[in-house]
Amino acid sequence: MKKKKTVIAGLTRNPLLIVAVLLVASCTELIDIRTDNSPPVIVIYGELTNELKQQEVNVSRSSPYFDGVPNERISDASVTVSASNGGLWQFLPCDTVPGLYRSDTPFAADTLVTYSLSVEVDGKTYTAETEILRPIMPDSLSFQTMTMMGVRTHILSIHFQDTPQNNYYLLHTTYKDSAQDYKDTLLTAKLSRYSISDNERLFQGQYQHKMVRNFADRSTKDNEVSMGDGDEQNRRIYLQSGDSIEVTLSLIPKGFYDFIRQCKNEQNGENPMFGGPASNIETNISNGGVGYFAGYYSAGVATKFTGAK
Amino acid sequence: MVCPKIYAKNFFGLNSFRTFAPQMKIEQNMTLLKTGFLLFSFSLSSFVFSQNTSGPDKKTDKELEEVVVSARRRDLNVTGTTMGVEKLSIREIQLMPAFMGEVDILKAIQLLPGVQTTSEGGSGFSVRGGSPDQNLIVLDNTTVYNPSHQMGFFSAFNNDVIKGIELYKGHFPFRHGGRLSSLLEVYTRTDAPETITGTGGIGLISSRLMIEGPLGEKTTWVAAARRTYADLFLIFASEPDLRNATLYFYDLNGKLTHRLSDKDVLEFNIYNGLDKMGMTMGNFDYGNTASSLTWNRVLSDKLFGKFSAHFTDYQYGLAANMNDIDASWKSRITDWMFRADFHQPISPLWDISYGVSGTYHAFRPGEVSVSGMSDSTGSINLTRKEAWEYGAYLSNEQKLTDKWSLSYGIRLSAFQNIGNVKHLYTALEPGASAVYKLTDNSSLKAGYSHNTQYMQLANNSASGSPLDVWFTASPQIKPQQVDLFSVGYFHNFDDNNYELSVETYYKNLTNVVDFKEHSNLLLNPDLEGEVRTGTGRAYGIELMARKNAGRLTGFLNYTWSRSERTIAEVNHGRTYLAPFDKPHAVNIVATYKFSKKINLSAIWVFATGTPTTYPTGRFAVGDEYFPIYSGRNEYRKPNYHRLDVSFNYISEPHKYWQGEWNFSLYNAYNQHNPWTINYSQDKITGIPYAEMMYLFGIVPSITYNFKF
Repeated sequence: MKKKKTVIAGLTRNPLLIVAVLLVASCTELIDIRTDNSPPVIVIYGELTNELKQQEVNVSRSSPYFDGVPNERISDASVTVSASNGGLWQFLPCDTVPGLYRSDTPFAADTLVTYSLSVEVDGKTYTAETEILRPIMPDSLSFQTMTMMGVRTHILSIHFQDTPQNNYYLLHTTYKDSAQDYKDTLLTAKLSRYSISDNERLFQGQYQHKMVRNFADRSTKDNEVSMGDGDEQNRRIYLQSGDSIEVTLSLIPKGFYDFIRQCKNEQNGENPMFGGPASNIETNISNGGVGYFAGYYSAGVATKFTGAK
Repeated sequence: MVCPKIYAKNFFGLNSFRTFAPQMKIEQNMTLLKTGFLLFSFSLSSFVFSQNTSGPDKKTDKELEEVVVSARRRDLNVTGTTMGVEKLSIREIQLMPAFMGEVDILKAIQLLPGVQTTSEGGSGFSVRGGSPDQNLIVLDNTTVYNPSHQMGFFSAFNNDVIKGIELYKGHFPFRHGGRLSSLLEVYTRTDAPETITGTGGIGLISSRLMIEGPLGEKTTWVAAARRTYADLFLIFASEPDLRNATLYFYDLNGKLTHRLSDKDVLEFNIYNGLDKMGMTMGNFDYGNTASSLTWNRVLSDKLFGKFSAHFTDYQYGLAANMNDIDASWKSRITDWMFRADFHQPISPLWDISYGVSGTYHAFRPGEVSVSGMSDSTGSINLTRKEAWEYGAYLSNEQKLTDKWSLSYGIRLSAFQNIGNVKHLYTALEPGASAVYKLTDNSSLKAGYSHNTQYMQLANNSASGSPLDVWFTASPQIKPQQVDLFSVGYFHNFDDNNYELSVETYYKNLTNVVDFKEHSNLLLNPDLEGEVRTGTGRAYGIELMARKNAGRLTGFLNYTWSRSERTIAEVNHGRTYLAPFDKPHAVNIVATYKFSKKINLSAIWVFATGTPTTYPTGRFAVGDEYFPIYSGRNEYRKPNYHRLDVSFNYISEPHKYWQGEWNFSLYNAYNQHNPWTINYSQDKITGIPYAEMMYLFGIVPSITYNFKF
């Protein structure tokens, strides 16, 4: 029972990976694409968490996709966040990071409280709101070891009790190796690397065994045969006995789950074999803005890797 | 006055005949018997004149010494009333350059006017701007739901057992229905050799063998098999996982024909194909089975009957195993079809056909299970669905005058959901076409047809993913319908050795299906919630020139076409280009016969790039950029073009053996045609850039074909 969720997850991934690897002896080359330019729109992105800190919101402007300069960051906006329990915070521009706004006082987002964001820029007001869902407490982490595509792999899973509703989860993983080369490295620091999951109907309301991510075994690093591109190998994290892993688990609103999923799907363009037509990423920012404003309660659990069992 | 009857023995011995009026002469190239029905694929052995009506076996019969019979009347393209029909003989297809040496009828039809490939190297095709699921593909009248192998790179049809194909681009024969865009009829061999003979081939990735022969005096049989062996090369891989990988497909064909009497013939056909891919951590397989049992009966001198039962099944399964736990995902569609068709030549100038059919569909859209979990929480079972699809038709073909011929009819179709949701749709599908002969060698034609489609594919992959889920019309999803209007001019030259045609068409589609943005089509219990319907239109002109005889044979065609959709909630309700809108397409197919032993073939294809959605803006989250689109399919990929060449050398025949070498180059000038276009960010500057992925450079292949 303990490993079944991992198996289900692998069901849709592994055979298709086989097909992709074995059939597509493809090559890539740069291509010059000329398109019209979308008019610029305001981009707002912020995540509130239950960590007591100065919460952050980013404001920027979109640009033509193939523009050769970074997107404009906006530092003259007026940003406020109010809470359904009466809280109100002014977010002030950061002196060192353009477009970044931090709350005037540290606060921790509370569960079952709705937070409303208001951003005034260029004479227009953009709003969004998010509710912090109840916490889900993880019980433990575990590893399974197997060989995948010639790589000795440790599959990290998290275990917790689910509730019967449709739930959507965000998992952040922090890694610290025993040699202290990587000190508390957040492996899910980028949106494209966020780990999300829903409680599949197969296991809704049951005790969950969610696969978090794979680690390669340190001992096989020098003998590996690359099956993927350089990026894939660069992203591979090698685990050895004594390394520490912490995973935080958060229940997130479906809208935020969809936003992350869509960002991951759309970031690199089309997938002709199993993807659909390109579509705009949905947002909860009003008035024509894009991005997302979300909040969640994170609860963590840690373990130390003691080697393959 | 002698009123001769012409008898023709087909391969199973049935005698079919047509009474000729006294003033009629048997001319060269005269169509003696109709194709497309009971005796659709003739292998005529003799003609017999009879001065009475008692049949060809009477002693008064006089056998002609030499008659050359073609299965297709050579000027049929001019004189026939059908429009939008394309035919290719298997020999024509076999002479074309083949991808990896695998002669592929589905890739061959992509060279016909109005037909487009859906992706590089794939077997999927779009007809006149329609989606692939709007094509009905039948093998000996049995539906084949997924006619491809290896993710669409090869077709499911073994060319050794195929006799020929006919593609109807909208104006279907009334006996078929249920699709909007096209009917592809694939016929297997009907030859009846007196001894056991066979053909086969040994190629780089596959080999095949077909054997046929008699079994007594009344029975003939055909058996064929094909298998790829890419996995045999994997044993040289350094990785144990790869060494033990499975990667192959096979298909089997069988046919048994038994003559019960001079008036009755039974025919049994079966096809089974399977793709299998797997490694230690999981595997994936999919395949079709198509089978039929047909009873052909001459009910009277002027009435032929055909009674048949058909079974088809398409299923796929994915499995994953980790340590001691197994999980599987299975999906399946199964049909049982029963039909009776009748053909009745009323007079030399008037034929009618009529019949009925009933098809039981069983859909299992998705079932997931985990080993060791016997309770209900251990599995996901999407609701199984069942439906009956009925059809009844009556069609007439009349020669009104020397210049005017008319074909018209009507089909009544019905679709009845009989599962949890009970619902019935009915539709009348009329159609008519007329030909006016301008001269002996030229004609004008016009046609109209109305088709209805009750089931469609939940698959928005452009490359023919085999993870098919068919879903039916329902109270929420109305049947798709099309009105097709077409006009054409046909002209043959030089005793029909040259053919020229121009056809133009306009299609008006209603209830056409697409899917909402970010749709989730796999294992979705609320699939209908992902569906959006609207209207569409397609129109175009198709020019075709063909040379049928001489050292140089082949064809050249050009198609100008457009295809659009307007669907609320897709592209903000604005009209957008259908995925297979390709305004310009050119296909050149040529074979030059240097001698009886040597010929050279070449194909050149050109098509406007497929519509695509490029990002026009980007937004940043952290240091990552994500795309903003201004509209669906507003841009196009680069134009597609490719040259294939092949060289055939027919070796000296041995007493019992004839060999033929085929050397092919796919994409001979190494054109990099984009399969996908993806985006990445520069590792240093973070600025996005685009890169295209192409599947194939030059792909050489060599195949040894033989017959005995």
